[in-house]
Amino acid sequence: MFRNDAIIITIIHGLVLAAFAISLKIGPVPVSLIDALATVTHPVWDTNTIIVWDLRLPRSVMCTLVGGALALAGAALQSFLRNPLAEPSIVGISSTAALGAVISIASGFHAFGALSTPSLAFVGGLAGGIVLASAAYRIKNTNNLILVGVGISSISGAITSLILSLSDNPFAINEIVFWMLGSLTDVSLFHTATVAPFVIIGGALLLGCRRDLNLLSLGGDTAATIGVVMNSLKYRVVIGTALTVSAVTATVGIIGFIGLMTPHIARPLARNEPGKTLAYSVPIGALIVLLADIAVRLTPTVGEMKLGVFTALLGTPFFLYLIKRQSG
Amino acid sequence: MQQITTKNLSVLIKNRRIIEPISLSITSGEMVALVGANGSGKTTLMRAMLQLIPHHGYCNLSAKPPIERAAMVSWVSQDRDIVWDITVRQLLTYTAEKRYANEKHVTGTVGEAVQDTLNFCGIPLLDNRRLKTLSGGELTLALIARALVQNTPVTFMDEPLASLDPFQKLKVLELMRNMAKNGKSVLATIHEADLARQYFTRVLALRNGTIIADGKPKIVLRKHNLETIYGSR
Repeated sequence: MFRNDAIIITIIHGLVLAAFAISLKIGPVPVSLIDALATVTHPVWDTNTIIVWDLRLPRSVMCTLVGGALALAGAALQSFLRNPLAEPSIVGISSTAALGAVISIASGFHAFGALSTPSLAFVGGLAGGIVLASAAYRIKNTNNLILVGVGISSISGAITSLILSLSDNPFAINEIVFWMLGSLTDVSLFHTATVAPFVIIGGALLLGCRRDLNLLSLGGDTAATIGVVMNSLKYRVVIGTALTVSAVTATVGIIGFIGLMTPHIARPLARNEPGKTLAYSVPIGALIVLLADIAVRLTPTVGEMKLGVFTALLGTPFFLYLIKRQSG
Repeated sequence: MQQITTKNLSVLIKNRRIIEPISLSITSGEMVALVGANGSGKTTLMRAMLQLIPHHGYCNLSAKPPIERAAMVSWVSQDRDIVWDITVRQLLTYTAEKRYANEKHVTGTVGEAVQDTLNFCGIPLLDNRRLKTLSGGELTLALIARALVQNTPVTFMDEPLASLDPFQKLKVLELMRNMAKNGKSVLATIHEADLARQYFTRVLALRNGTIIADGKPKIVLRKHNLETIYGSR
């Protein structure tokens, strides 16, 4: 069993590395794979280095962070809520992060610098997380926690729509809509360095829940009698999700379906073990987003297709296929 | 040796008293049947003793941290909702890993503890079967094995015989009897008075949240007492 795990993990990580390398090569300006990798390992100040270091490397790193974070949060939520349909957006954190970004753009706050919109989006996501955590304190039934998440999502969606409908600035509306579609076009190494600590801290918090999530397989009451402190687990999952999802959504917008879809791919490889599903979801999520971003760059459209649109377009039929296969 | 003790333990839900003050103790090697009509408070009493719901009064488990409680009493819930289709071995391994992480003086490995428990429960061949493929009786045995690998002196079981055929019921009861022979105590809610008379060493009869009888099965479960225990409320 251990050897199989090692083989699976090695293969997945090998695929992530390959996709990462290819993503450094793909773009409007042709750079060979060897040149692209050479600029990363031995940077020399030429055009290729500028293209790779300023445009492609930050984007590839961000793809890895976004995919890993969203997939991990999705797997943790599905395991904790014992609901295979749970994902970060269903508990409202993505939509409150989006609301923060919309407030920043509509109010003109985004003019203060590159980090102004991500900052407000991050605050929005964390606020959603805090509301969810305080509701979680009072609510024992995890199904009701999902309903609170749906409520948070609905109210923040309604306020976002209100701001959009009241805004008289067409440029702001345009920017809001593009932001909400999710894209990695303009990310820099500064963005990735800003997002990474939150993803690492939140990710560590979620991965630390693996053993308790395994015990949750038989429900919260049984887990509690085995020594799982349910309130502590609840807070760790909510805070870990809020940190990871807020940080990535704040920077790249809403990338749908990764959090929902990836755990369903990881679960059979992990033999349905909830904790292992979390660990497998991280590289698989990173791989999916890297491949999706490569596909977006290769798709012959007038402007570059938004990544969030692409993941939704591909994710929906794939997800329906998974449901059909799992229901026999 | 007394394992679980309560003094005036009561449960109030939405200003309605579901369990009247109850004082009882369960000692080593006892096989206790908790009987009563549906809604008499059997599951609520167990959940209160397990500290899964708030209660008033004393229970020796109340003041203990979750890890210490987990070392004293295990629980076989009536809930059979399987979301992730794991194998029987995985099910037992998660609990054994938690136990080995918390206990200082454990012998052998997690794998050995799991295998020994599967053998004790008579289900070594089920180890790689997925939970959703098990019959009702097999699943009950697997869930009891899960509780047993926790290695606690006391196990609570909520309706372990529910929806089982007569043969499966006997298998589960034989397992419970073997547990008691090994010094473990069992507190189980059951409805089958004849099986309680045959297999259990003590019966607690609950009616409207009050213990109305506590004693030897053959005395408590006499035919004329059944009307009082199960009769209209």
